[in-house]
Amino acid sequence: MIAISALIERWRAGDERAAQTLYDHFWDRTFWLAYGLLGDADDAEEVAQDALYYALANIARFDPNRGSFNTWLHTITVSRSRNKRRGLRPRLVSLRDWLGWGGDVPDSTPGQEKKLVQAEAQSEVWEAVQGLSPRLREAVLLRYWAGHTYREMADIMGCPVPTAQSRVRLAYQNLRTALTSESLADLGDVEERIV
Amino acid sequence: MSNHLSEEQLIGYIHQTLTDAEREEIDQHLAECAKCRAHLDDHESLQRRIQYGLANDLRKASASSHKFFAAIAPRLKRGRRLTTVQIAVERLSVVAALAAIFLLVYGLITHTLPIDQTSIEEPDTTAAMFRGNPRRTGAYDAEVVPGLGEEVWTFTLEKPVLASPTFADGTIYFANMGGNIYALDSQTGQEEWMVSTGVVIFSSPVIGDEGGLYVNAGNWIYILDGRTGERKGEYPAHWTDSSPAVADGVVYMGTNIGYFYALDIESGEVKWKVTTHDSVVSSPAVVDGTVYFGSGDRHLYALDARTGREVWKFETEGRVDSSPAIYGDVVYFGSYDGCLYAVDRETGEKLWCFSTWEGIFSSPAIAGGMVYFGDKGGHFYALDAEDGREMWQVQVKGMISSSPAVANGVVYFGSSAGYLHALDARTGEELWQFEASAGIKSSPIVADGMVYFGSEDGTFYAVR
Repeated sequence: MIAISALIERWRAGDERAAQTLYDHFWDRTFWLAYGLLGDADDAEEVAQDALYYALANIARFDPNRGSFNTWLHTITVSRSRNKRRGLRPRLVSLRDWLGWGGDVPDSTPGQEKKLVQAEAQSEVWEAVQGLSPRLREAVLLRYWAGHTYREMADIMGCPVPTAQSRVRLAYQNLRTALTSESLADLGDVEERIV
Repeated sequence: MSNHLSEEQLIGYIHQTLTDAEREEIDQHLAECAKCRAHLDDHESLQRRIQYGLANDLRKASASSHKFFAAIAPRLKRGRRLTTVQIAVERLSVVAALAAIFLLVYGLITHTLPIDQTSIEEPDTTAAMFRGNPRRTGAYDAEVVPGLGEEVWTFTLEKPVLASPTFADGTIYFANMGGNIYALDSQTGQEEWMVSTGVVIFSSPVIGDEGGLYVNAGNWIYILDGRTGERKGEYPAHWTDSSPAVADGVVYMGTNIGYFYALDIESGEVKWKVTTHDSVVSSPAVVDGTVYFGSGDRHLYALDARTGREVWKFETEGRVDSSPAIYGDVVYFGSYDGCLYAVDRETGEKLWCFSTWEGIFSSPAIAGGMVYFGDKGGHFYALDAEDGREMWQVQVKGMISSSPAVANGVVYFGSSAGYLHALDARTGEELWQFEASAGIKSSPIVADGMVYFGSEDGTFYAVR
């Protein structure tokens, strides 16, 4: 078995197979983070690909002494998702449009596949997380989903540690308001809504 | 009442953003105030709901068209022009690699650390707690009919079973996400009793010295009569994913708040308490008066079981959610930094580490001089316990998020793709696989001639 660090070394030395292995290995989780941040499968796919491309093309900039490859990749993914949200990059033509499925649907509305993906993932928690402001959504995904420390979060989000902490607390408070309005007493049954 | 804890205090508390002094103050209040404890319970329950819901939702999502590496390969080739920085880095890494090889060879010559084979214990005979025994080795001394992989009985519930079962005297105990604790006849699957706690349970029941069943549910530890399910006592505790250990009249447990406790069983008093700086998900191992556990603050701790005094702590580069397994004089555990570590039990010095693709959060199983564990990428490894050499490796469908069990030369583990795999522990050759109706997150146990585990759709299985 080859460790991530060894793959990074091999890719630095120009072994393209190592890059492919890293790409395939980190694809799902990069897509998931971007999807959580953006709430749109097509956008997330584009950001995930872009982030992985950037990470691999700039592998010389990655410094293992400053954090794990995963943290570095998350830093790039968060930054790319912010850009995507601000509309800094032009949309690429999606496969759906190219094949003519729903080609007359404007970009801002979900296409067929996106609807499918999103319908599967619409739990109340998901809805509530998507209802957060972008910065708070970042905080929730990085802490609750990715399990980063506050120090790592501060590096990824580009803010001081206390800010990372207060964003997580505020995000939680907002989620709490959104999720407990129906019934706080019924928490024993939570998984009914989750599963 | 003005002196109750504020929302802000509780929210800071569950998110580990308070100072030690602030945390102390809250603890003192919680110890005396049932109302605030109940309030804290609500918060922690909600926190779990968000974590679990988010992970599930994201896992279900997949890109509408997977973008393969081929799509970026040409661009990557062009983009990766060797800059001076890169060349410098490459030269440095060659120097570093040469230095590492030198140190490694030097280390091998001067510092071999043989494990004293005579000190290695035989597997315990019970399956009375998470990972089977207080050493958490996941090794079970139980006869299993080899080579079949057939269902003996199932028990179907509405809510997922994520926690691992426990076995004692012909009874299987487990808890589910519906907050119920079940006792089933291990041979027939007949329900003996059921107790409802009303909160989601992630941790496994523990059989104590007197046959009492200890279950951590929400902010309580319940003590039940193992035969009848009757509630014999309860102590205020903290939410935890970790399963407690019971030894010599003391319950040892980690908490999601970051505390680690020793509770006296008789009185329910806190004998000692230590603070780590992130949640303790790892289940403690207790051996020879020392308790070992990992924390989200990236350390593995070894504490004096009587006093809580730190014997040593070992730093890794990621969360240590994996439960340590003790075998001979060595502690084995995984970290989110992707390494499986072997650390000297007495001194806390690193003996070796084995790097994998993935953060490791499940716990290793150890038997017959081999260490077994799986990772999120579906890789399953067998290492030589002495030097960390890879003996074999297989890859299966789905993630391996539960921990393996070993019995009679067979290693068993489940996957998120819903398969229970049985492999020859020596060679890694597949003996059989059993397809469950949903993903398996609950770590299997081996007892009474069968393998027991729960699945994500709420079905509990007995297979052999």
